[in-house]
Amino acid sequence: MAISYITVDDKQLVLDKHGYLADLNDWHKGVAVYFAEEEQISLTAAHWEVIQFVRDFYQEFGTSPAIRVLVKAMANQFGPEKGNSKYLFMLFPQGPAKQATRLAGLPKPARCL
Amino acid sequence: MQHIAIIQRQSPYNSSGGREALDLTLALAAVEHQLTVIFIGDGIYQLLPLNLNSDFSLKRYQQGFKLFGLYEIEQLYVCQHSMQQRQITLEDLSFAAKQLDTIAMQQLLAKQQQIVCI
Amino acid sequence: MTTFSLLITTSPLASQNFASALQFCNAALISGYQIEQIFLYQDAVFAAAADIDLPADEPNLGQQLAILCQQNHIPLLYCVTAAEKRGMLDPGSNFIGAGLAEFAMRLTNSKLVQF
Repeated sequence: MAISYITVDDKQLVLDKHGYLADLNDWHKGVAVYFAEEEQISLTAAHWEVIQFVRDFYQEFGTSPAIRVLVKAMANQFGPEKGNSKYLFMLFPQGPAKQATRLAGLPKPARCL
Repeated sequence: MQHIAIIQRQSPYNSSGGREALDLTLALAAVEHQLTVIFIGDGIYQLLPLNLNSDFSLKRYQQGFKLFGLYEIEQLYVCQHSMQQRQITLEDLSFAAKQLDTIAMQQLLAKQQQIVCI
Repeated sequence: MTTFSLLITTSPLASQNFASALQFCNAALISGYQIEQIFLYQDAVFAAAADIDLPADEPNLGQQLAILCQQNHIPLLYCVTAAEKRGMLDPGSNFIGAGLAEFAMRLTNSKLVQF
């Protein structure tokens, strides 16, 4: 299978077959900016907050959050005005869990949860 | 909404059953079923702290047990007999669970509407 | 009357569980019970593989289950994540890809039997 790469700051980074970063240790903010541009998201402080949140989530639980648990965890941390799917879909229209984890350099969340 | 018990029986060192049982537990809890998780036999080993630096080639999913709090899963039990057989005490475990003897375990299982054993 | 959900977690090639599930289904249907769903998880998803090629004298239990489900309009679901992990991108058409969440929701009104 062909390996695909992206080039960020003159460095080649390997992607997995879903277009997510293959090694989450490769991540830096420039990677999020690169993916955001590709997915036509203009990053705001609200986006960065979610990106940091899913990274912390991964650190804590060892797994990428799917949408339900992301909403729940956001509600616990930031209250209901940010912990709801409408808010998250406004920031990441193609699917908050899918897009936020990609921008954050994490593996794609499981489809079945 | 139903009362469902998940019985975790497999060692984390040689199978991924524990991880798949955890995914199932969370999926059931996400749609508001009332979950009880019971660790029996070699399943107890899933609760021991992980050495994050060791070279181990199965996914370390045990961090995911911390998600129980987020999903409001509070009924966590271990089988006393399995603990004794393996010389493991509650203090050895990486999170708090209640220990049940055989009679109490039978009573707990009798209260469930569904039981899944993995 | 009771409605049943069936959960199968083992490979159709490696144990008798699919055969037992088939017998259970037949007995339940004959007795007039309904079956809400059959859900394939863990290694049971292998039953949904499109290109199973068995010698003529070995029963294809997954296919038998699929036919039974088709005849009786029983949703035969498999976990898509478990299937993807096992390299099954395009399973057989008699099997419906689903999430654990769907299994969980369908469970609400039925009695679970695990094989």
